[in-house]
Amino acid sequence: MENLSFYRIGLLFKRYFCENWKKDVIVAAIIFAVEMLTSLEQETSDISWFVLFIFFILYSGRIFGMLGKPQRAINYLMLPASGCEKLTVNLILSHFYYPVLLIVASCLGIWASSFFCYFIYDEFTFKSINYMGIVGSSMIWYACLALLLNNAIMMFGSVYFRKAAVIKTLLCEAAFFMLYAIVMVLFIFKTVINEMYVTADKIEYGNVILIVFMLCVTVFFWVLSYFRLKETEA
Amino acid sequence: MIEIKDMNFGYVPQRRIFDNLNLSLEAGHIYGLLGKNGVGKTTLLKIISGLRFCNSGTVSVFGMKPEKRNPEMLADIYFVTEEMDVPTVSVREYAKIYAPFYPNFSISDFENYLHQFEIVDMEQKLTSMSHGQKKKVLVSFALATNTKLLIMDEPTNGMDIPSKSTFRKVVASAITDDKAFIISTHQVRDLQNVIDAVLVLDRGEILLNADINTICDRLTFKVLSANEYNELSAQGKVLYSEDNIAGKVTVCTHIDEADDKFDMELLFCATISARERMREIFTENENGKSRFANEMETKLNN
Repeated sequence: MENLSFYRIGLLFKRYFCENWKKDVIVAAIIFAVEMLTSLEQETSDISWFVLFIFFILYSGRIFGMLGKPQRAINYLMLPASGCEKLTVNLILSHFYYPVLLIVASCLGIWASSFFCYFIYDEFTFKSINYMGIVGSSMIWYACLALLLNNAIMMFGSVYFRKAAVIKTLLCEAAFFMLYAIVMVLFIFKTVINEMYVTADKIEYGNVILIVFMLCVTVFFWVLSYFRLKETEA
Repeated sequence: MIEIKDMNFGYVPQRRIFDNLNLSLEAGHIYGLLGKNGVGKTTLLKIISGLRFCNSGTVSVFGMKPEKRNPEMLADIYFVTEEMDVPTVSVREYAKIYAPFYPNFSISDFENYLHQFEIVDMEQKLTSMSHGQKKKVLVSFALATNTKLLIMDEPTNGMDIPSKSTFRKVVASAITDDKAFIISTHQVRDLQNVIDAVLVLDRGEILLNADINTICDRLTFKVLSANEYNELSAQGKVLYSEDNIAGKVTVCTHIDEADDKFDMELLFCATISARERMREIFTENENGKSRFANEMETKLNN
């Protein structure tokens, strides 16, 4: 494994923010506006989760988009930093920085709509973020894990596919999860038929397996992305 | 500095671009890499810089494998590509972002080179510049990184005539004993006075790897009259010739006391058209002398 230099990681972050801060501000402003407008008439916002999801996918799916363009690929691969450092930076950007940026913009949009409602309806109703009832429930952890897994897959797709990486990755992902769903349905069907009952203990056990599985697959795609990046040619 | 041994490479296994290619490059030289279109000049540069991986054989740059893309190695290599893709930042910001990656970068050198190329506005966005201006900025940046190995692919493409002259000047001023520059070009006349060693690549192999002094010692570039040409041709000394108004521009094996002028374009044509003769002239034996040099020595001794 290559050594990690925090100095070079810092330089890669600096490079990213110097070159992309305007784009990120524009995206955050769009999310802020969408969230604010969709929350004006509702107590809670459920519509914009879809917009957020699309932005997450597009961002993670294009995080290594520079490798698809020969000149950009040369510039990027020739940067004096190891594959591990480049992957770490892009992983942090796509898995943590960008979701946090968009969720913060989204929250600000919702709270701004509360503030406007105060002036419009002369009453202050504090609205909270509530994506399909996930926020605030135990489902939040599953949602975060699913997001993490999805971003890991999209990141791998962006380093693996040269052209139309987002679409190709989504198609592969859909095919994989369809297969997974079929296997799970068959497994559950067999279990139910054989045992005719599902206890609370078994559900708990199944949940733990699901969490471990999601984490393992996420790490698997990180490692896969690393090796793919190492072997990428320009 | 760079050692390539028995290197094979092909984008598809059936069609090899390089077949057992051997090459050794040393520091302190500005190498001109010449070759016909599609012969693999850019591919060779990419293999040296670790952007492409050879199929077999060994490639070593500063004693390291370039395909590993080790950060320490990358910090000592800079690659100026023919086409450029620049971020939407100003010249000053570009230096601020990318200079820290290169430990030997000198901001005063950068400003000096920009000044020589007449790029005065450091606040101008790179994306708003013309192709030639971008190239000047990137060449200035590349030289200012003070990397041990600087690779430039067609660096003068898009530059105006005064800039080409400036380019020669700044490149000649930047070379030191611990650095090597490799310049791949078709514009041989643009770079004739700056290159001090020539590499000719053809049909998957290096046909010629020699410095200008060696070339001038072993070859003569001369305009000959018809009689002179016939005489030398009869002696089998003519390697290549072409007609012009003054007579026959000729590349021939070394003629004593010849008042000649090195011409890289003619050298390239001679190397391509008289492959075996050129190989005989420039391939050195175990004593470090070519067969041609041995013959000359024997003649002089007799």
